[in-house]
This record gives sequence, structure tokens and C-alpha cells, in this order.
Amino acid sequence: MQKPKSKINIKENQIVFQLSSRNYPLEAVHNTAYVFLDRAYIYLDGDPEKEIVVSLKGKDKLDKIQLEALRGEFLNELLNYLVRIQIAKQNKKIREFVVGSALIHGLGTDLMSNENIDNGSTGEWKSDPLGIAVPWEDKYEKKGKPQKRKKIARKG
Amino acid sequence: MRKKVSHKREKKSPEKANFINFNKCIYQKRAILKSIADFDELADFDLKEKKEYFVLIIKQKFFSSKNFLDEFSNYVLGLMEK
Repeated sequence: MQKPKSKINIKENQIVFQLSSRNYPLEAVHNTAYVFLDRAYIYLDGDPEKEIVVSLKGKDKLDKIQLEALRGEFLNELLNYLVRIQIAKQNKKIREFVVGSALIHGLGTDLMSNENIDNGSTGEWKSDPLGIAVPWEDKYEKKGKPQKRKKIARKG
Repeated sequence: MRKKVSHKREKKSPEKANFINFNKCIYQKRAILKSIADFDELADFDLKEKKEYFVLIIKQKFFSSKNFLDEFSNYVLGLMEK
């Protein structure tokens, strides 16, 4: 991936750079900006559908290297938030299910109670209403030709 | 004897008129309005809505701070709802 270009203005104590919205969604940029509010004056502009322009103005006097470092830290934090957003998306169903179960339990309906188990009731986990009981291989296996397993020659 | 007349005029406190553009796609109007309410005692604000931007004209009342606009813009960012 290409490193985003930046423009440094030493007099204004400012560094300006663009971020592609395809790689960095606005939600992640907002969250990252929030983290940097105490260290820099942040101004956002541009088109969230195409390119977001970020302007970081140091609260303390910074030289060129420090401004570059500030941008680097901003980009690192941005990556951190990207991963967090991705994980949040992946775990959304499970989180909802866990919270839902906790609420049901709070109401007094215990799906895992001894009665249910003794009756041979499997509860709802086998029916998999959320569709989360998918083996890893099925979920992430690349579509296309199935890979052949190498035969291992055995001696003897 | 004629009295000396002072030609010194009272210096009027210069009110700086500044403006800042907030991109409509990035900044929320609710956050800008809340910030204006919070900064109301420090400056006079005039918010205008254009096609792509909210234009905020700021007239400082009591002091001239170089970073007033920057502080204000940071404050707006801090109030943005996720």
C-alpha cells in the first residue's frame, strides 16, 4: 500500500495528509481523531466517499521530524481502530446472542437448567438460529479448486 | 492659556471576525450547535448553511486567542456521536 502523501507547514506547526476512504472509513478516522484531541488540533475535510483530508496542528511547537512522527502515530492508531471495527463486525452476532441469553436468564428462563438437560432437550443450540455454528474450514475456505493433500510416503 | 488637547483616541478593542468551514459530510450539525451553546460566553457566533459546508462566523468578545478556532474545532470533534 502506498504511504499517504503529506504536506508540512513548519510555520503553522501543521501537517496535512489525505486518506483514501476505501482503506480508512470515516468511522475509524473519527475515533482516531478523538484519541489525538489532547495532543493536536485536528481538522477534517474532503469527501468521505473518496478521500478524507486530515490536518494535524501540534499544540506544542514541533519540528518536521516530530510532525512526521505525529502523522505516523495517527496512522498506527487508525489501523488499531480498523481492526477493532472489523472484530466488532465479526463478533456482532455472538455478542448479541450472549447479551440476549443473559437477559433471558435474568428473566428466569434458564435454557441450561437441569430439567432441560434431564429431559433430553437439546435446547436451542443445535438448531443454530443465528447460523454461527459453521466450521472454520467451511467459512474461510477459498472458493475454487479444492487443494489436494500431498501424500506422504511412508517408509517400511 | 489654551489647554492642550490630546489627540489620542480611545483604542477600540478590535473584534476579530473569523470563520471556519465544517464539512457537512464529516461534522454533525448537532455537535456544532452544542459547541456554540458551550462557547456562547466567549464569542458571538453566526452559523450559515451552504451547499457542502456549515460556515461558522466567530466574533470574539473578550480576548483574542490565536488558537480559538482550533480549540473550537477540536471541541466539535469531541462532541461528535459515533
